[in-house]
Amino acid sequence: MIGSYPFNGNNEYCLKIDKNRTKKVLIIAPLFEEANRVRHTLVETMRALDTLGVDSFLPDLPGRNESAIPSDAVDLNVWQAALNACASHSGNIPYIASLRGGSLLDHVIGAQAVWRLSPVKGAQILRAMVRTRIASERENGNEVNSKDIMEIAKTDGIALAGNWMSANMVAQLEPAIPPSALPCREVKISSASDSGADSIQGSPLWLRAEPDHDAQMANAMAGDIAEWIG
Amino acid sequence: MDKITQADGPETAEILSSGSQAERIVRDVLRDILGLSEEQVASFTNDTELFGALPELDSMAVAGLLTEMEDRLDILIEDDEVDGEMFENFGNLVAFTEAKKAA
Repeated sequence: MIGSYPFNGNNEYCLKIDKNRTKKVLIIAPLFEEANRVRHTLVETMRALDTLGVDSFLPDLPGRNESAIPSDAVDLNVWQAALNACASHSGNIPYIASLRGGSLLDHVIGAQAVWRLSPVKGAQILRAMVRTRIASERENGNEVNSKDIMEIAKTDGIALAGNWMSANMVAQLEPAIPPSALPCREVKISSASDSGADSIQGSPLWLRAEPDHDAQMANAMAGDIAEWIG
Repeated sequence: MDKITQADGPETAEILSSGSQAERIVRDVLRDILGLSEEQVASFTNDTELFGALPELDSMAVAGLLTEMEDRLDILIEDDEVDGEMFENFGNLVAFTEAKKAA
């Protein structure tokens, strides 16, 4: 069901399947455009987790989706604070499952262990978005390079691939790496069926030029998360 | 969706099937970014046209493709190295990648 959590005087949406079970996981989606491409599969993952006896929560971040917060008012610190608020509002959530850029924010207050699928550094996320900007500038006949774009971005903020990024967001994203304080199970996507213990059979939907859905991958993710929780 | 034309013979396919690690990764990245089937990317030969021939491959997809290739091959691709020719066909993309990897 669609729930919400209070943050900085607003309510942000949080999709949840909450049956007051002891096993609970907070899911942190990939950041920016990548989140949209895996939304369907993540929701199916939550349904599969439900059948495996695990409650799950998928919060929207401030400044994204239906949030009333302007997108230039958010940065990684704000998102981290929002996830902390969501976790504390949702009761004790010891387990966090994060994907891609979501792993930059997965040391949520109260978390005891993290599960990560293909975590990524902030610099990689920025680089792909800057490239998209360069591509669209070139289509308009403007020759620009990454260095100039990053300089503008760090001073004034910038629109990258349809996302308004504040100067703070750019500055925080550039050096960000997934934190390493908590016990972590890291899994990768593999296309092979005999892919080994630390991989999920499927495809990296977050990279897709067009959104897609993979029911088998949703089941595989839910199975791995449920087994990890124990 | 499949608009790929293949003009080359079995010799090229044979050469490519024993291809480099870079070539394997380029195939995987094209499959993953564009959502192509394993069979479709396996059928790519040097002359298989990419940009303009694959409807999934637009300039946004190219941005994702470059970044993913950098990540998987541990290379850095500079802005000025990217041109239309590089994405003209599969052979060009593999040749670029192998040259980068060897550098």
